[in-house]
Amino acid sequence: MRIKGVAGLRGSVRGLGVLAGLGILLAGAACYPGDGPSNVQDLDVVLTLYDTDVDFSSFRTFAMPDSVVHIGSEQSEDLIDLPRTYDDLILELAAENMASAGFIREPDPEAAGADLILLVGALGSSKEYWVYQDWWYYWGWYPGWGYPGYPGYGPGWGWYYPPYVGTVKFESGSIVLTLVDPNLADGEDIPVVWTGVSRGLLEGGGAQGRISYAINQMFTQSPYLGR
Amino acid sequence: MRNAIRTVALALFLVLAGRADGNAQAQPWWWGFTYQTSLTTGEMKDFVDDFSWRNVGVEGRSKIGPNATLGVFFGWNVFSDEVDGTISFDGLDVSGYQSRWVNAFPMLVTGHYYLGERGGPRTYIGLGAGTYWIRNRLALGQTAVTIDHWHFGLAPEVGVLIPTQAYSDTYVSVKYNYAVKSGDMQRSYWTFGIGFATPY
Repeated sequence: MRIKGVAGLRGSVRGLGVLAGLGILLAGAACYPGDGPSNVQDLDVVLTLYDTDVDFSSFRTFAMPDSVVHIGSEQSEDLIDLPRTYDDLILELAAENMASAGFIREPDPEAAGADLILLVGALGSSKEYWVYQDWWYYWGWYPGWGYPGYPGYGPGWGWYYPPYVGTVKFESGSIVLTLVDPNLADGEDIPVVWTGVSRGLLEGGGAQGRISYAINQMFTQSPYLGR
Repeated sequence: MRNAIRTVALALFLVLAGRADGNAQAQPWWWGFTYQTSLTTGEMKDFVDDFSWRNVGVEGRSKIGPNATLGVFFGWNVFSDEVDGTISFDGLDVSGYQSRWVNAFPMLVTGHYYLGERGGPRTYIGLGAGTYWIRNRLALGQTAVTIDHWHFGLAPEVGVLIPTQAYSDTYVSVKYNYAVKSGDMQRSYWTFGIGFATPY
């Protein structure tokens, strides 16, 4: 037979309270656990959109310009200008992937026409964020020896940690490939049948590899383009 | 949130009011705290395939008979997953490194029935009913999407209450949490708990 005294019950309830508090602290540190992205490439995204009513097997030829259209600060103050260092690589990869999908590049589209036109563009953006950490991130001010270096003056206000205020800036670049059907043009409106977009931070190295992977992935995740 | 608070407050009132039987000696409450592991199932497993070690629960049970209790349960279950692949919708495909999280907060009114005799190990079965507030978050590239929903839910449970000391009990439990579809999302998961409680 167990004898339960008031003191014992108080102890068990107190113990439960401590356990509950510890548990809540532990769980409180775990809302979004995990390491998250470990390098810049982990933040690269490839997105493709297509018109589900289009039969891509009906297209055979395509045309594409010999330059990348850069959209930058001239078009919008929210955009930044990207260097043209990788333009040739982008055009080469786009053409290669279209060929691998079974399309034939029309060398003289103005004379012979083409089933599709592939437009290639690039744009960059810059976002800035304010970061603010208030004084309670630190111990605030604490009693010390008065002014540092003058011990013996008794407790004083010691050091005060001012709040940290700073900015963080992210620059991102996007490559946009667009397939349009010029034979369905209605005035200046030309229907878009497929779009591939890749976006990543303009940080870190390996840009050539990241661009190659992104453009190849656009076509890898678009098997319906294949003939 | 207000509806949930009202629901919980009403449940607490009903439980406490049901104990006001005019007896000068108040019926005792049984308080328990559990640490749990959990495992996603069904549609939830398609979003987050995780066996989680980050789960806690707090509950109180009031005796309504020699072998039965009525009470409340509050919990916090955290799930996470990392996926590197392509997700597809109608006409849209997206590839990239994804981090996914689900935070589930069950708030339940519970009823339990106990087998065996007081003073020894007692197996119990129970059922919880109430609401789950569930936050779903997906981060892809530089973008994150968070979707929160309230769900009605049920949680059948089996467990064993083991008296371990003069002033506390240990108990283990297995519970199936089923949060009914809300906003086109249905969530379900198992929890496996070990806990400490005031003596029953």
